Amino acid sequence: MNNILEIKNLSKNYYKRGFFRREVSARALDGVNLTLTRRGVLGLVGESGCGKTTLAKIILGLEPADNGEVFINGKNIFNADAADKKDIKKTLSAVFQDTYSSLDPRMTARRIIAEPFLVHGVLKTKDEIEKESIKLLTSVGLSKEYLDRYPHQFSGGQRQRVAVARALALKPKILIADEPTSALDVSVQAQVLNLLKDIQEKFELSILFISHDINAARFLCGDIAVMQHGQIVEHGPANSVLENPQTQYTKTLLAAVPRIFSPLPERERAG
Amino acid sequence: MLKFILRRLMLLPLVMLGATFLLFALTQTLSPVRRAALYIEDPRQMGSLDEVIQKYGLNDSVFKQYSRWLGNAFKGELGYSPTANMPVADAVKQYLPATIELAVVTMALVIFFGIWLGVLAAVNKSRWQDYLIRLFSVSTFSIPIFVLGLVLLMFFYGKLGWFAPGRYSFTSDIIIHGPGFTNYTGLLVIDSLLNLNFYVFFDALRHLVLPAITLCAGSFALMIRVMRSSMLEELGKDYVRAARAKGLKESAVTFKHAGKNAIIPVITLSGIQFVRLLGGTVIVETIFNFPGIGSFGVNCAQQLDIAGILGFACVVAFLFVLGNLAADILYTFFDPRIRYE
Amino acid sequence: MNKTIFAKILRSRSALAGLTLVIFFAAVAALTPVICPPQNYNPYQVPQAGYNVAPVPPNAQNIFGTTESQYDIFYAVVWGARMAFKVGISVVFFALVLGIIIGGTAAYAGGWVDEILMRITDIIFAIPGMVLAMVIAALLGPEIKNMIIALTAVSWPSYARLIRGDILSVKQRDFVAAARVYGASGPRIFLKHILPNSIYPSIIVASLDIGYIVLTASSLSFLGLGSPPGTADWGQLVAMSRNWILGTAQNPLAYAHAILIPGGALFLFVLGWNLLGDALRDILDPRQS
Repeated sequence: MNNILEIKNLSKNYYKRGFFRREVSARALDGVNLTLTRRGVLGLVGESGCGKTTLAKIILGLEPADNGEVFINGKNIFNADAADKKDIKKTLSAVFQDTYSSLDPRMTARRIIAEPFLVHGVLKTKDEIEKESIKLLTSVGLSKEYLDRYPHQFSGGQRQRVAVARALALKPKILIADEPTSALDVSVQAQVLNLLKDIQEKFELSILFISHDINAARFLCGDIAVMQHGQIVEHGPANSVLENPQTQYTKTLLAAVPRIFSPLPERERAG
Repeated sequence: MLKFILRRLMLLPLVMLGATFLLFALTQTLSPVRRAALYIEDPRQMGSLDEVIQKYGLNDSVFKQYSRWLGNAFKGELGYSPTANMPVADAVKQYLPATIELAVVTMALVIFFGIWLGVLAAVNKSRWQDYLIRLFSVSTFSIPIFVLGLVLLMFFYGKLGWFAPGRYSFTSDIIIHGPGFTNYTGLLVIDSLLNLNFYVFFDALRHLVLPAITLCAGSFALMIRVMRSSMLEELGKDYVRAARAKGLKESAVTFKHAGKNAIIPVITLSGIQFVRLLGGTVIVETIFNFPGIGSFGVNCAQQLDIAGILGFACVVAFLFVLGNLAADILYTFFDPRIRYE
Repeated sequence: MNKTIFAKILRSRSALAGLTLVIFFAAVAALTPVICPPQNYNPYQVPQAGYNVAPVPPNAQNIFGTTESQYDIFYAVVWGARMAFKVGISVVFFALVLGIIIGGTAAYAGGWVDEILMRITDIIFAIPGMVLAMVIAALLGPEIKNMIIALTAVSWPSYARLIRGDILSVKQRDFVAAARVYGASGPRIFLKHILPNSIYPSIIVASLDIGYIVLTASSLSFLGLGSPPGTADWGQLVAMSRNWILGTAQNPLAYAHAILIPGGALFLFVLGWNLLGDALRDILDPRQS
């Protein structure tokens, strides 16, 4: 079983509450099929409003689907029992777009990173938690001095690093990254992309990278899926999708992208 | 918008049902003996309280009693008020017009002075006039109306003897209740004009002066503030600058152009303000011995006249809900930016 | 952030005036037993200087004079400050607790629970606050405790709505989604993440309502529906002066002190809170200046 995440025929509509009956106001997902291979990085690109975020929310269990199935490690998340659900929670993790909103403003980085441990009771003592937190913080490129800072005392890129550290806390297998760079300054975007690449290797993660930024997807992803109006219009290895697009929509998307080949590695930028 | 109004109209009976039930349930905290008064039409019946309790099932469950009360209320029977010495429904009919008269006059004062002072403050933004008006509005907002009322009464009645408490003088009382004076609306100011009796007209106005000024105090602040900020907003807009560039006089710019648009929020606000006055009338009418529904309510509350309290509170709540609905409709009508979904 | 708000208060003249007034009254309330040692078993019971009915103007023995039935105005005003804080703080506290519990439940549970709780607040909003407070206070009888109950009963719905709205907006934030992703339970998310991020605005709004609440409480007392007779309560003191607005034949303003002193204390108290509240609202909402 090489696919860690499988999405089959997933559909979701948004409803408007009418006076007497519900009316479909938007077709967010329309029969989506997708697979994420073990240790693979799949880029999901498309214009905003095409259903990318809805898909992420359904996979993460934040929203119900109308139809279809989502398998994680071969288990259907929609009819998992309690124990399976707990496993799924540990397998999945997420990074969001808005770094202001994704960290609790009243908690220090220490508390934010420790929360997953406390919820699952995986680490018992304070020392263990502290040691693990520092390890996580270092692995996202922040030193332990940052532990006692509040979110507003970090820069946007640093906040996203803290969010990544929290996402890694439970040693997940899948990371759903929903536009993790789009709210950041261009200069910082590259750093975060590099970070994602790093941790993907180090933690043997499978990443679903959702973005409207085709260059970022090109840099990070082995496979790319293109989404339009809630449907996957193209899905395949990054090279073939980007170099030889099959649909008009992908061609239009590509035409709109400035031709910068890949973000510069961090060392060169710093120099 | 139509949908929103429809929804509110459909909710109205439900809200009233809830509010009257709440008030009714509150009165149930009292003993059945006291509540028996609700069903007594004539003071002579007072001797047979036990029979009344039996007959009207005052020991029944709240819901049973409430539905009975509601049934009677629909027939216009709200019980007998020993305080007013008449059935509650009659008392309401008698006292309500006075309150409405007071509220309308007050509202006219609030709107007129509120707009005037608001414009004055906006035109002189950050100058002494502005600060003075702000100080005035926060002071009037903070002064307890019963203190203001008593001080005004002490000075203008006690010292100067200009304005007496009550709704009309003794002479007017004789005229009003004498032959030849027809009671058309219950609103004395209007009735006196319809009867072409100017003595009563001016007498009634004179008795409204102090209560209206007192009742104004709490409402000024918001009116002035809203007028000021909406005027400032309009004065900053392009069309105002264009009007100035055309060479129009400043007063024409202020009143004809900016003022016309700035007044919209004030119109909608005045609907809400009008409804809010209802709470204030309770105190003002008490201070000035003004025989309106508010002082009737206070008297009932002081005497623990359950029927009276219940009737008073339900009538006021009904007016309040209707008024708020009207204000909301006014709001959606005048302010196209607001959309209710 | 809090530092800058404080700095702005100090810079705004009206806010500073408001703060000064509030601090002054708070100091009086805190030091009441020192300023005016209690003379009765119940310290809020105002001592009487004689059996004469008519008020006496300020003199050496009663520096603020006496009001009807020789109640000492100075004692009553000073203990009245303590009473004002007692009532204001109690009402704000209980109304906030109720508001947080009910508004929180509505926002957290959503669906029909939310619908029912919000319709209940609609019903309470359908009756003017003063009128409902009056009805409750009248039915319960004139006691401080009952006055607090009546005022709490009419105050909580607006806090419940406020808190509900704030919770619903915090609920949308991504850190809540993140916590759900790593498997935090509903109650944990609510208590650790949502509540701490949503109740502070309501607490600020509610504490600024103290002026208004004391004003309403005094109105109840003025109508004879609040504190029991003889209590150190500004509203009741004003009510006592009601029979004396006409003064004497020689001096129509002979008893003015009986209205002006307690009325002035109440006015300054409410003014202080309103100035402070106005300034804070301006500072927190910079759109209007």
